[in-house]
Amino acid sequence: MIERLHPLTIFIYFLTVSMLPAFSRNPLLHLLCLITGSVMLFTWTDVKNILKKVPFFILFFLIISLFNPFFYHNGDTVLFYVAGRRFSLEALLFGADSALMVTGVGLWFISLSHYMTSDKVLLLFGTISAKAATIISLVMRIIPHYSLYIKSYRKHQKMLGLYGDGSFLETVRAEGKIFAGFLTWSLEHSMTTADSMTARGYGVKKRKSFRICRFRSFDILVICLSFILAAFLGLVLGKGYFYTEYYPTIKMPQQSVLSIISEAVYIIFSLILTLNHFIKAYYGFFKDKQS
Amino acid sequence: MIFERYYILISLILIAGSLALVFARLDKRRTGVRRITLIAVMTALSIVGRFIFASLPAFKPVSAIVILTGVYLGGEAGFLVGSLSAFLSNFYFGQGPWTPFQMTALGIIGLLAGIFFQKRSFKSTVFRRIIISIYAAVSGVFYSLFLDTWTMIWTYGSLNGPGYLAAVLAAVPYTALYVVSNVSFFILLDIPFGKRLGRIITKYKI
Repeated sequence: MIERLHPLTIFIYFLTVSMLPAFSRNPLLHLLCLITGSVMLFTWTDVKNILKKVPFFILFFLIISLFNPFFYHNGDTVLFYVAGRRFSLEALLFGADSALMVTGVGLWFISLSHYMTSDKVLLLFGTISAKAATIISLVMRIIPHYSLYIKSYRKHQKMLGLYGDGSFLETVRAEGKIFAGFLTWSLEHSMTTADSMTARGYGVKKRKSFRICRFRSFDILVICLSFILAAFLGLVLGKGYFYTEYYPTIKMPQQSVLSIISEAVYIIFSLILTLNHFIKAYYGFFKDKQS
Repeated sequence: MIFERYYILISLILIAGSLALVFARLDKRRTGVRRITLIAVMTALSIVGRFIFASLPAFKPVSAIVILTGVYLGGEAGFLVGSLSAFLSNFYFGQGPWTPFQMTALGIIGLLAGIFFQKRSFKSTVFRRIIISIYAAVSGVFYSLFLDTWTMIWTYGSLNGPGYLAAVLAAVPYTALYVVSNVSFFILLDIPFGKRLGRIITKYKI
């Protein structure tokens, strides 16, 4: 579902869904962002892979949330004193809220970088700057090519007995020599690439480029929905329905009809593209049981 | 106040928009094919450098290679190598809202290196190398401070002094590592890169 969308749509959708809660200062919205972000993870990876990432995120969360109270001392509820300075509950919770937000957005961006494959990035970048897109596609080719070359170069050196006797200093010297030779070769090789690019018509004025992604009507729908969500939530945030005060004491905003509606809208919109995946998985599960 | 954390929105829009404008402007300039492939090679080298030193935090040859590109190939090339290597290597190291900030910081480092130090002859004197090393050290500090601005805006949602100070203080070891790695990689790589780039540039008339 998501991988078939136009790259511009993917970009706008992910940015809207992940960044809107980041503009608020409400722990509830940040928590929703975190939850929907982790649901989104399940559409492209399995539980094992996600569990691997969990310790990193917990560490990240703890560092950010504990960071704040050591530098901010203006909460009213003092837990204890560190070197004569107040360590307040409010500052701790504010830090935890920030950490929640950063973690949630981080999860969304992991999914974004999975769905924005290199060809999609190139297409998006190419509309801004064709030159940069050319460089990006060259780099994508160069890195695997050159790393293969350097590996075979190292093998040759070892075969010829020029790699040293295995001591550290000799190895470093041999690697330096390999790097120097590789550098000369790579620069020289890039000139060959340039010549063949010219021969094949790079820089000719009248030309068209082939694009594999098409802009479908569903893309327009998703983009329109993103903008509507952004406008709606922006208005609600601007009215202060989600404003949480931390200092000097915590004042959570009252839940009103509008805030509940906007939370529901946010949840629905951020999960709408994952639905397809889960329905498919559900039916696949039943088919396996029947057969 | 429309948003409670509107600084994030405004700073992101400003920085991404200005980056897009710079890229669109660079697209108008005519660049030879050979220069483009050279830029691609330098970008690839800096990305591979970041991969090789991935296990060491902040000790990366990226800025040094960006500065070298700026010095030998000019400001435009420096900007492109800096911003694109930040952009592309982040596909491995984690893309996020900080990407435009990293792109801008590295791009500015390359651009200024080109503006200040580009010259036609490729024989580096000791004095010149010392001056560029100082620039490399300053650029490490600049990079760290620039990204700390982002850290402050991102975690606090506004501009505030103590928050910035906290971010800067927390990043002091990183800043020191940036400075050390920039200077050492610059000194290490200047002669081999300068010799070979000079040869290529005179041989192929780039």
